[in-house]
Amino acid sequence: MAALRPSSVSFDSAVSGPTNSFMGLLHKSPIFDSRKKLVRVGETHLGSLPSVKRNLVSRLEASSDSLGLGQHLTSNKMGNKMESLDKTDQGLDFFEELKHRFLCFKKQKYLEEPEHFQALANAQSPKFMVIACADSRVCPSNILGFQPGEAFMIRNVANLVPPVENGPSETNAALEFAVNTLEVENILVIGHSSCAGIEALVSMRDDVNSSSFVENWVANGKVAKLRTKAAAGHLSFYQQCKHCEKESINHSLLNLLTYPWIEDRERKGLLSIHGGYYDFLNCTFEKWTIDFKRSSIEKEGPKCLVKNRSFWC
Amino acid sequence: MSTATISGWCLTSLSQPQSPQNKATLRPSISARLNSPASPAPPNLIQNKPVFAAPAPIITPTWREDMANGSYDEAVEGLRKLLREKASLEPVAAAKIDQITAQLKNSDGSSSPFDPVERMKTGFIYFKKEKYDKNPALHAELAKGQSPKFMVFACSDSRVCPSHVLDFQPGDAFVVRNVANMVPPYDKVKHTGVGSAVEYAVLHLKVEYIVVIGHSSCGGIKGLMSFPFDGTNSTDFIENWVKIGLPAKSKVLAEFPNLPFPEQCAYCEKEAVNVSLGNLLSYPFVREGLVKKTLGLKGGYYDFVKGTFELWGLEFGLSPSFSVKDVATILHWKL
Repeated sequence: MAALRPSSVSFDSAVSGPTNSFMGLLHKSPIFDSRKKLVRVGETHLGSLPSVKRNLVSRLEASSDSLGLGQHLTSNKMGNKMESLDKTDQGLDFFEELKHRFLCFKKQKYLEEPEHFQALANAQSPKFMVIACADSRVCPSNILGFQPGEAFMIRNVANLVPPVENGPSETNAALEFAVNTLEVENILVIGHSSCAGIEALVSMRDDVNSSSFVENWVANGKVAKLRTKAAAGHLSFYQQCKHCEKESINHSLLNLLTYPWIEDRERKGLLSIHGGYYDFLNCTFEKWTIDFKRSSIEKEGPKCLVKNRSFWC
Repeated sequence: MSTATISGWCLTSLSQPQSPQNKATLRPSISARLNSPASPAPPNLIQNKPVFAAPAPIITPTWREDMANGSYDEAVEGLRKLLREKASLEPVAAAKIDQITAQLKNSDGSSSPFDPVERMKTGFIYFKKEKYDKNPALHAELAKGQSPKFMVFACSDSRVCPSHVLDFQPGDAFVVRNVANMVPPYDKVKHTGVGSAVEYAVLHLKVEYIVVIGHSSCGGIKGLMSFPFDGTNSTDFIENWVKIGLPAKSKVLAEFPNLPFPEQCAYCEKEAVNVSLGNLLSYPFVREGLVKKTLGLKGGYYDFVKGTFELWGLEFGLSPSFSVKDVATILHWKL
C-alpha cells in the first residue's frame, strides 16, 4: 500500500484556526515547494505483482491543502473569479476553484444555520432515499431542492437498481443501509431525458458479449429494453430511448420489490416507492407511485402498476 | 392524448411511453394539485429554509385563545387552583408541564403529516423558477450535452451532497454516490457499476479531475471498523461492499491501535479515500490519463462537525526506463 506523506498547506498564512493535517504530519511550506516534494515508495499500488516492484518506480506525491475555518470570501461572484484565474498553473487552479466553492457553501449555508448543521452533525434522519443518474445535469439536490439531511442518495449510470438475484453491489448495500438502518419512508428512482446510459442500452447488440464496462452495467436494464422494443420498436431511435428511459425506471421500481426487507416495509405501509422523470429539455417533472397491491414481480409477467401520477411543468 | 390545463398546471395523459403501465390499470388515477384558482401571484411554495430533518429550533408555543374549548388562561388558572388545594401534586404537575413544553418545542406547529410529494413539488418549482428559467442559455446548452470538468465520488450520506458542499451547479460535475464513497478495483464482473461510471467519465466525457470525497461521522466507515470480517456476515450486502476499504482499516489499526474508536474512524475515513484513489489506478484508462496529464486524481475530506474541507492531490508517474507500453505488457497477465 502506497504511503502518502502530505505537506499541509494553507492558502491564507494569517489563518489562526487549526490547519488539519492528514495522518498527524504537519509542516507548513509555500505551495510551490510542496509540489516538488517527492516521496519514493518502495511498493507500488499494484503491489500484487512482485516482479514489477523491482522495475517500476511510482512517484506518489501528495500535496495537501487544508481549507480551515472560513475566512475571507471575495466579493466577486464565483463565475467571474474563475475567468480571471491564472491558467498557467493548472494544479493551483484546481485547489483555488474548490476552495471558493466550499467557502461559498460555508458562508451561504453552513454558517447561516449553525443549529441545524449542529443537529445534522449528530445524526441524519432523511425521509427520502433517492436513486438518480450520475449525469451532471440531474442532481436531485438541484432539481428537487433536497437540502442537507433530507435525502440519502445513490447515483450511478442510468439510475439502475439491479434485482436481488444479481448479487452484492454498491446499489443494494446503500439500499440496505437506507431501509434497515435509516428507515427512510420513501424511495424515489429518478430518470431523465437524453440519458447516455439508456442510449447505450438501446443501441447495444445483445448477441455479442461486450467488453465495455458501460454495456456490462446497463445490461441490468435488459428487460426494459425488451419491453421497449416490443412496444415501440417501430419508432425512431430518439423515441425508443425516451420510452426506455421511463420503462427502465419502472423496471428498477419492480427490482426494488425483489428485496424482501423492502417488500416487507411496503406491505406494512412504512415505505412508499416512487418513480420520477426529469425532462431537462422542457423542464418538466413527472412523478408516480407504485401501486403495491396491484403490482407483481412474477418472472412471467412483471407488472408495474402505478397510482398518483403527477406532472409538473 | 388529452391535455387538460388546470390553474396553470399542465396535466397530460401521455400516450405510448406510458402504455406498459396503462394497459393493466383500468382507471389511471391522476391527482391534480390545485392552487387557489386564478391566482396571479407566484405560488407560496418557496422555502428559504430547508425542511429540518432534525427537531426544529426552539419556538415559543403560541397558545391561541380559540384553539381549545377553554382558553390558555383558564387552563392555567384551573391548574393553579388545583395545586393550591393539593400542594403534593406540584412535582407531578411540574413534570407534565416540562413534557408538554418539550413536545411543543419539537412540533413545527402544524398538524399535517409529512407529504413527500408536496416536498418534491415545492423543490422542483423552486428550481424551475429560480434556476432553470433564470439561466435559459446555460440550460439550452446543457440540453444538448454535458461536459463536466469534474467526476466526483461522494458518500450517499444525506448531509454531504457535493452540489451543496462544493456548490456544483448543473453541468459541473459527474457525480457517483455510494456508501462510504468507495471506488473498488477494476473488475468487469463484480464492479460494473463503478467501472461504467469511471469509463464513461474518463473516455467519453473526458473529465479533467476525479475527486474522491470522504466525510466525518461516516456510517459506512464506522461499519468497516466495527464488522469483524471473519466470515459471519450480519448484513446482506453492506459488509460485502465496505470490505473494499479493508486496507485502510488495517493501516489505521496498525498505526493507531490505542486511540479511541471515534478517532480511529476519523483516520480511517481519510485513509479509505486514499485506498479508493489507489484503486482508481487499477483502471487502465485512468493510468493513461494520468500519464498523459489529461486527468488528475484528488482526495478530499469534508468535516461537517468542524465545518472544514481538506483537499489533497495524488500524482502518478512512471520512471523513464519503462514506456507505458512496456508496463502494460508486464501488467497484462494480471488484468
